[in-house]
This record gives sequence, structure tokens and C-alpha cells, in this order.
Amino acid sequence: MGHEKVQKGTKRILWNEMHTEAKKLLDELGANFDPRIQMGGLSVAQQQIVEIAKALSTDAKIIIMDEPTAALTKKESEELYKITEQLRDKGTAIIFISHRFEDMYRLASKVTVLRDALYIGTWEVDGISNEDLIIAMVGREITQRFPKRKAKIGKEVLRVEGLGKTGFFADVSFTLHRGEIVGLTGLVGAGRTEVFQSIFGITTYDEGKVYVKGNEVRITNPLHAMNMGIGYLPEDRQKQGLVLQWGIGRNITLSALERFSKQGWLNDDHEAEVAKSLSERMNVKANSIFDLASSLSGGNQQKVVVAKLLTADLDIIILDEPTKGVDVGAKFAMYEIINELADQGYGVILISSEMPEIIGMSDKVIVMREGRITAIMEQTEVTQEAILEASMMNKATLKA
Amino acid sequence: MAGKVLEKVTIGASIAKFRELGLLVFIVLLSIVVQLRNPSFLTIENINDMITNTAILSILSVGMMLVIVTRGIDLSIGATLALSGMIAALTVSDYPDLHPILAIILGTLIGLICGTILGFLISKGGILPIIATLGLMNVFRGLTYMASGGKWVSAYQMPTSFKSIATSKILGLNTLIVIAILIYIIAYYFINHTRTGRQIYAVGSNPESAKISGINIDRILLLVYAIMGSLSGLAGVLWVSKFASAQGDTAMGYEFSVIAACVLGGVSIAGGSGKISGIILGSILLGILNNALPLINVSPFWQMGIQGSIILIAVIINALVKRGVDRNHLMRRKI
Repeated sequence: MGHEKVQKGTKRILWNEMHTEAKKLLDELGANFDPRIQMGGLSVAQQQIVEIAKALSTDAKIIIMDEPTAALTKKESEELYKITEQLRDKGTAIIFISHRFEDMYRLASKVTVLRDALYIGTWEVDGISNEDLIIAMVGREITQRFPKRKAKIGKEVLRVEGLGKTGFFADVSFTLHRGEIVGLTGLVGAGRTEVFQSIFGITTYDEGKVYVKGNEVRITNPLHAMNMGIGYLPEDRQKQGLVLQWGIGRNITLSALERFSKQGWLNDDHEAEVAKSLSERMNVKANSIFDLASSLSGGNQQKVVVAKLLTADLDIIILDEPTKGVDVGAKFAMYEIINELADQGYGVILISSEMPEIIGMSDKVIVMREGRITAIMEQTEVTQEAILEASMMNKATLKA
Repeated sequence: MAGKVLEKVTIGASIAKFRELGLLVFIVLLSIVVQLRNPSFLTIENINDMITNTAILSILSVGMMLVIVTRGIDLSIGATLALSGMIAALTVSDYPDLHPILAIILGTLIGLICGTILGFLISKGGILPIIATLGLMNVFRGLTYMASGGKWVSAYQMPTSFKSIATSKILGLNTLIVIAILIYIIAYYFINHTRTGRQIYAVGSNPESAKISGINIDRILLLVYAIMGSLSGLAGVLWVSKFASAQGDTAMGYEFSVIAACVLGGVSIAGGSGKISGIILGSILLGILNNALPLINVSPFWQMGIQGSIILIAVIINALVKRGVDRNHLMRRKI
């Protein structure tokens, strides 16, 4: 892995010795899978372990882990914690970069906060409270983690009946109204993204019906979806949401170029005007709309992608993990934006793995597990336990 | 530390900004050196000859740039050029009274058909551009031999009106040059001021984002290969008219000169970037090398080596600049 064992003289790679060594390293980490297996066949958590084993194979004294838990579920994170603790006890120093508070409390002895590329401070974990950390990270006090909102729920904009795709999801039914935020949660891999990608026309579905504003539609591609009034904020903003080497303005207008053109000719002034006003409305921190998207922080990039959605004439906005990998301050800004959208009468679908976010934001919560909806709860009846139960239930305990 | 970082940023950014200027300076220096060695280099006659030769190369570079911007490549253009040039030549030798403009339109149409077939294979068929164009290159070349029965169409078989396409002048400029300039202007506006032009760059920069943004990627790919084909067809007629001969092996391997001109002009093979001003300069530089090296008695073997080295140097500079720009993006942020 990175530095092969080579026989002297012939430079032949000693596969057997390498595999034995790899097995030893993996065993040390309490992982019991075959080192010969292809990376693609492993879960994200297992891949993470391989990464750590790779770091260990160099006899590292210091290991830097950059957001190792970002893509892991709670249970998988717990395994990672255990391994990290083992390493620590063996005398390896570990720098653990994370935006999750649980990681800090669970693992760290000291915590250092950086904000906007500036060093803010270092504290003993035992001596610092949640609130102090948030203030250090955001630079101001956040009294309300989830801004309050009075939902004005209007007419139905989206109804899905018995949607299914073999091997991905089955029997998915729900409704979405104007001004409503529907939270969709479940473990990573429960089929949440797949459902909405098929509704949006990126992929297809095999069975079931989709009604937009009461009319049955069969959406075949993203452009069609946008014309029907559906917007989708993809999970991976860098790969799917933005053109990183372009400026902010061009990114914002990309999906609605026909609005800024006559017979195919672009009206640059009109385009710049709209891009500028949307960028300001989303409060994107940049010098101008010509700043490259790659120069922005995660939170600001995400705001650009949301601004991009608003160029089109939409009724339904699907947000796939909108706060993934952004810091506390940017999260709060995103929550305010989401609430504002709902207040303006958009129907909002919020896909998220973060339970506090789902509970704090949604008017209705849908939980999925292994491609099926296992629970739909109104805001009043939602609890962490109920969501956990619905997303982890065994097949055996599932009532027919 | 901060000062050092800042300095790096400015150097990287300024090279990127003045890339074209750098090319221009290089062209001027090269011209001066060649002129000192052989005074016949910068004569009106030779310059005219050189620019006329470059016109066809740069017309093809415009199409190739669009293809490369979408992360593709087209190896079939030499064959497309030969096929449409051959059919146009055969047609005018049978119908000497045909208006030259009709011959140009005929050639362009044949190129358009070739390009559209290619575009379909790549967009709908999902075949990798390098494979699809490699296959069709041989098909089109074979068709050229079949159309001509393996014979040449020589100067005496072509009417004067047809040959005069390449020798006549419009407003004092050679017609080939006028056509090339027209194509630059149209392409410039197409790329910078139309919806489709913008979408072509989006597809090349990030196909996945482009798709989710509602861009029909298949349509864009089909379009760029169709444009490339049409330009090859047009170039075929111009080529045959200029050299007053159509052969089965016309422009064999010419696609590599075109790709080289694009790369010299700063078009990134990774897709998403490329400017008209860049490829014009790239084509001119390549044209000068082709013309000047024989003039200063460089042996043909050395000529190829020198050309290849200059292309490699351009690519290396490109990579270094890109690295600088990337680092720049990572660093620059208001603190």
C-alpha cells in the first residue's frame, strides 16, 4: 500500500509478504477482512480503516485524520473511535480534524479551533462547554440552533405513490405541500438520494407514479424536472453542483441560461444583475461574482448552489445533505435560508443524516431503511429514539 | 511566509493571464532570429504564403478546440478533409461550370454528415472519442480511395474558377484568410455570447454538474463533432483548391498538427478551457515553424524533432501554470 516490499536485485514485488503484513496491520485494528479484497467491495467505514492501516504501515508517530467521521454512521464512528483510542494508547499522536462535536468530546484531550483561516485558541476538552466551543467557532453566540418558524402549509405540490426501482427502493409514497419542510432521514445507503434522483430525472424508476401540482408526470431528465418546477441540490456540491473553475456568477446562472438569452444569444448584463442579486440574497462571502467557486469555503459554495436553484421558477426544492461538511456558522445560515424558502411557499425536501437537524427543521419526518419508508411522523411526535428505531429496525421486527 | 505566498500567487496568475502575450513574444523572437539567418523570410510574398498555409490549419483548430473543450478528441479530421476534398474535386471535374461557392457548400455538407455520424457514435453510442474517431478515420479514408478509384484529381482536371478560390482576393486579402477570419469572429461570438457556447464549456469543465444543471450533454457532443466535421469539409475544399490536386492520402496525419496547434494555444486536453486568441497564435507559431525551419536549412529530420520539443515545452509550461493557478485558488481568501 504505497510502499511495496521489493525483493532485492530482481525488484519483484513480494505479494505474499505484503499480504501477510497487511493482514497483520488490519488485525491490529480489529478488522477481519481479507487484504486481497478490492476497495470497491468495502463499506465506507472499512475503507476508512484501510486508510488508517495504510498510515500505520509507515510506522507513523503522528497520524492526521481529516474528517474521518464525516461519511460514517454513528455505529461506524464508534468503531473508528475505538481504533483511534487503541492507537493513542500505543503512543501514536493523533490530530483529528472534524466539525462534529461528538468526536471532540469522545476522543480529544485538547481542542484547537480555527476560523476563517485564523487560529482562535486551544483548550482542554474537559474545561470547555458546548456553548463556548460554538462561540469560538462562529465568533458570536448562537442562542437558537434552529431558528423558529411558523409554517404556513398550503396546497399539495408533490405526491409520490408506490415509487420503486428494483434493487434500490420500493413502495415509496408521500406528499409535499407548499410552505412545508419534509425531512427525510435514515442511514447512509437507505436509498434516500436514489429516490429523489429518480424523481428529478437523473436516474429512472420502474414503478409508481409522481404527481406535480396534481398532474401525473414522468420526468425523463433534469431539464424536464426544472421545467416542472423541481430543483435539486446535489449531495456533492463540488462534483455535481458547481463548476469549480468558473466564477460564482456563471455558476449561479448555468441551469437557467434560457432565461438570460434571446434566440440563443446571452444578455450578459441581465445575467450579471440576477447573479449579483441572488448572490447577495444568499449572503455569499466573496469580493465579486467573478470570484472562482473553487476559492470559496464549503458553506459559501453551498449558498451558491442554492442561489443556482433560485434562478429557475420552482415550486419544489430538494436539498440533499445541504449542511454536509460545513461549519456551525454556515449551518445556521443554511437553516435560515431553508426556512425562508419554506416561508416563500416552496415545498422543501430536506435529506439529512443529522438527526438534530431533521428534528429541528422539519414539519414532517420520513425515515427510510433499506429502500423502504419505515416511518412518517408529524413534528409533534418526532423524537431521536423514534427515528433511530425506524432507521435501524430489523426485518424480523417489522410488522407485515 | 505570507509575503512569499502572495508573491507566488501573483507570478502564477500573471503567467496565466499573459499566456497569449508570451506566445506572441516567442513568435516575434523566432521571426527575428529566422530573419537574421535568411532575409527572404519576412518578405511580403513569404508572409502571404505562410499565412495562407496557416489559414486552413487554424480553421480546423477552431473545431478541434471545441471538441477538446468537451474532453474529446477527433483523429478523423484528416480523412474527413480528404473525402470531402476528393468529392468536391471529382464533382467540379465532371461539371466544370459549377459555381465555386456550390463546391464549398458541397464539401462542407459532406463534412457535416461525417461529423454527425461521429457525433452520434460518441453521444448516443457512448463510444470513447479516441476509439470512434480512430475507426471512422479509416472508414473515411477508405471511402476517399473508393470515390476516386485510387486515382488523383490533378490541376488540369479542375476548372480555373475552382482553383481561384485559393488564389483570389477579397478586399486585398487572400480568400482563405478572409474565410478564416470570418470563422474566428463567428466562433468567438458563439463561444462567449451564446447559451450553447457556455454549455459546451460547462460540459467540458464538469459533466456531472452540467447534467444536473439540465444541460443535454448528448446534444452538445453531437453538435461539437458536427461543427468539427463541417469545418473539416470546408477545409477539404480549400485544401484541394490551394494545392490544385486531390489525392487519396491528402492531409494524412494532419490531425496531429491541428491538435498540436490547440495545445500550443493553451487548450487543455483535460477539457473545459481554451480561447480563440490562443489557438490563432498556436496555429501561427506552428505555421512559422513549418515555413521557417526549411528556410534556414534545418534538415527535415531535425524539423520534426524541433516541432515536437516546442509542443512538449508548451505543455510543460501549461502544467506548471495550472499548478500555480490551482494553488492560487486554494490560498486566496480574505482573512
